[in-house]
Amino acid sequence: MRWMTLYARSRQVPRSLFVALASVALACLLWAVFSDDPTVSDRLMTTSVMLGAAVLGLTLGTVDEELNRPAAHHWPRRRALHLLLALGVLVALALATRLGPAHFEPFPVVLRNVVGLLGLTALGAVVLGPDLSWLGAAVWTLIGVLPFSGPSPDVLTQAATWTVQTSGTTAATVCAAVLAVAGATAYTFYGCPERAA
Amino acid sequence: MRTVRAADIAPQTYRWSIEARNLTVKAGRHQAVNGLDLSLGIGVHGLLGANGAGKTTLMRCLATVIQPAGGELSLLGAEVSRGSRLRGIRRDLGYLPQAFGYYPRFTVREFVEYVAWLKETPAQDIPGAVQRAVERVGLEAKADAKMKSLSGGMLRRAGIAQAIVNDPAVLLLDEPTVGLDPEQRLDFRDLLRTLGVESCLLVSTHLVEDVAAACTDVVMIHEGRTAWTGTPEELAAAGADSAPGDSPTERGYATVLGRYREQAVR
Repeated sequence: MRWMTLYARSRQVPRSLFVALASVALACLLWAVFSDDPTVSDRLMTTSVMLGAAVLGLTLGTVDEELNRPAAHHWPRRRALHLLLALGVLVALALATRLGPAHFEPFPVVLRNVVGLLGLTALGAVVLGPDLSWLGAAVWTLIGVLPFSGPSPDVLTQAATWTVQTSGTTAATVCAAVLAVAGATAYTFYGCPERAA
Repeated sequence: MRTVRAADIAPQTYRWSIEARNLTVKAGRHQAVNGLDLSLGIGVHGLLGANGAGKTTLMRCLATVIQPAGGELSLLGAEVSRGSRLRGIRRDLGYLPQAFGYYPRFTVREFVEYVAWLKETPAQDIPGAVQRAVERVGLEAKADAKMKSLSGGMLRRAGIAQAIVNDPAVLLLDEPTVGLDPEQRLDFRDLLRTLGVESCLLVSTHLVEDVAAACTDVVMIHEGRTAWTGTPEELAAAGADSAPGDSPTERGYATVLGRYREQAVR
């Protein structure tokens, strides 16, 4: 699979995979050292997931969009596959934490955050380009991990701080699902913006 | 060895490789190409025009990087707006952008190979096609050097190599001679003449002497419209003695453009 190697290298996929892995490992390590609770706090988990989504977001575009865009193959299919693989990597990393002393749990919350933040990153890649694709996810994560954010009965607050709501909070789940669908659809059909040199 | 495929000897079923009718293309909000008509067949066509005449926007549209805003555009006999035909067109398209990005740690060979893959060249043909493209631009000594180590002229030649790797039927070169030294430019003109025997080349340039030396036709555009078409000889003959320029072709360029501007004002 020669083309896959070239594709991955031109988008610096190895570097991004390494940083995503390091981000999750560091979160678990810190938690294991400083806490007796085996479940990593939702704030730290979310920040770690956001970092993972952000570095994988960098691989959504390329430095030579001008040469890549008129490619003969079916780009939408490849873009969707790329996004699915990124999702798979993040979910696998989150599940892998269960093998260590500090876990990313509960799974529905982890999955919601992974899906939502990756969708938001994909949306960022379409609107702002790959280099700034992390911006939206970073800002929204920041809002969630602020000291005064947390589980709330108010629906608007639930949506605004969806990353730190408990499992089964409808507004948070809907928010993540909307971001995921919007991001995946936009990226699949439009890809990153091409810029005239 | 390269085998002859059925597609190589199939008769062509269209008259013009590039055919545009009343084409409009936007660069941002600006209407850079504004009602342009173009019919180009096999041969080397030089695209001349002042800065901002719409050359690069036209090239990007013909390369299917950006969509036309209006009018009709057919490449190799197929309408570009019809998505189902687009992939087939793109396989036979080569494009050298005015400026292109590249992954700096690719070697020249890997860079050209990646583009061959983008053009869906069959896997078994890729190593041979890459080697041939690299040799044609005279970069074989640098084939395994990293892209980031190349000089400006070498980068340009690597860009030309990626554009011709799939033996395109339509080849679009935007400012290909920028950064080439005089000797390389002569080699490049030879390459143009060879490629122009069996494919349709559109070469955008500011260098009038390149057009005079290597092109079979000249298309001059001004403010997004076709201002003049003809042969380089006709262009040279059109030059008034009083027009600015140091060669007959340069005087022809100045005269024709000046005349078109006057008409446009009226």
